[in-house]
Amino acid sequence: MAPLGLLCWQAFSPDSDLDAATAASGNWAMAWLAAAVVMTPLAKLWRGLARLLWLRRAVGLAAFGASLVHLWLYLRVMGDYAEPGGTWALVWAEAFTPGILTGWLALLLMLPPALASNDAAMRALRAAWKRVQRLALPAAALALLHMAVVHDGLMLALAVAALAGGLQLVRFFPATRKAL
Amino acid sequence: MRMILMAAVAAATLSAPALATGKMKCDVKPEDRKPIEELKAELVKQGWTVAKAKVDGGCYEVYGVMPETGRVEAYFHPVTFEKLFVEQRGKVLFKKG
Repeated sequence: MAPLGLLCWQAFSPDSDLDAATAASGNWAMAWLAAAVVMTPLAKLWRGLARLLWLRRAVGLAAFGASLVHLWLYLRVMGDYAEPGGTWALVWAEAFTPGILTGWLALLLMLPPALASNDAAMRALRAAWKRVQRLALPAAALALLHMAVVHDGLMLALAVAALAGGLQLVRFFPATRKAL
Repeated sequence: MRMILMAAVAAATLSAPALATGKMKCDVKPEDRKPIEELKAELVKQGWTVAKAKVDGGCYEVYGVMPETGRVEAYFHPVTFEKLFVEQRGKVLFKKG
């Protein structure tokens, strides 16, 4: 989370480039989210990595935390663009462009798994808990679309999609499916 | 794996601002460009809020709020100030044919 702390600190300095900070926070969110969704397939490929799966919750929550910082910076940027009091109107004006809508939806899909990332929720939800956590996958797909479309991020999104998406196929390997 | 991802993200983040985006190209010698401040003033007169203006691909690229539209990224010819391209969050609203 240190880079995010740095970003927040930058965001409070008066002459900061908020646009760049917003993009960087989004990239961090994407990196953490991609890391969270590749951990299970990677652990299937290399059993030794299964020992690291306890980190998955922290990684997922880091992705959600970074996304919230990203949202906060986005709203601040929009506040800078808007007339006084007109921030929400400006946010609404672009909320349904594909580039922004995908971002909102990705954040919305991350909310249930983030809220359920604790032992109490795990016990309460039982078998449904896994289904809730799997919302991270469509969230990652939407976040990638958001990244690809919103502002010149196509190549980076494709690179992450190829790496993280390719590894998702491992989830369907029948031989290892029952192992985890 | 995570290190590779992060390295990729970090490299792209650091290198991205240095590259031209290739969305628009204007073949005008730098010394022939009219001052970018003039373009900003003209846009403000038209009701724009200009947040940032810079050179990209030889054109003037402006980030701001276009009246009746919202936050956009727009390209203008650096001599005639003709509007060449307008995009709202990746959605192309106008492109000179």
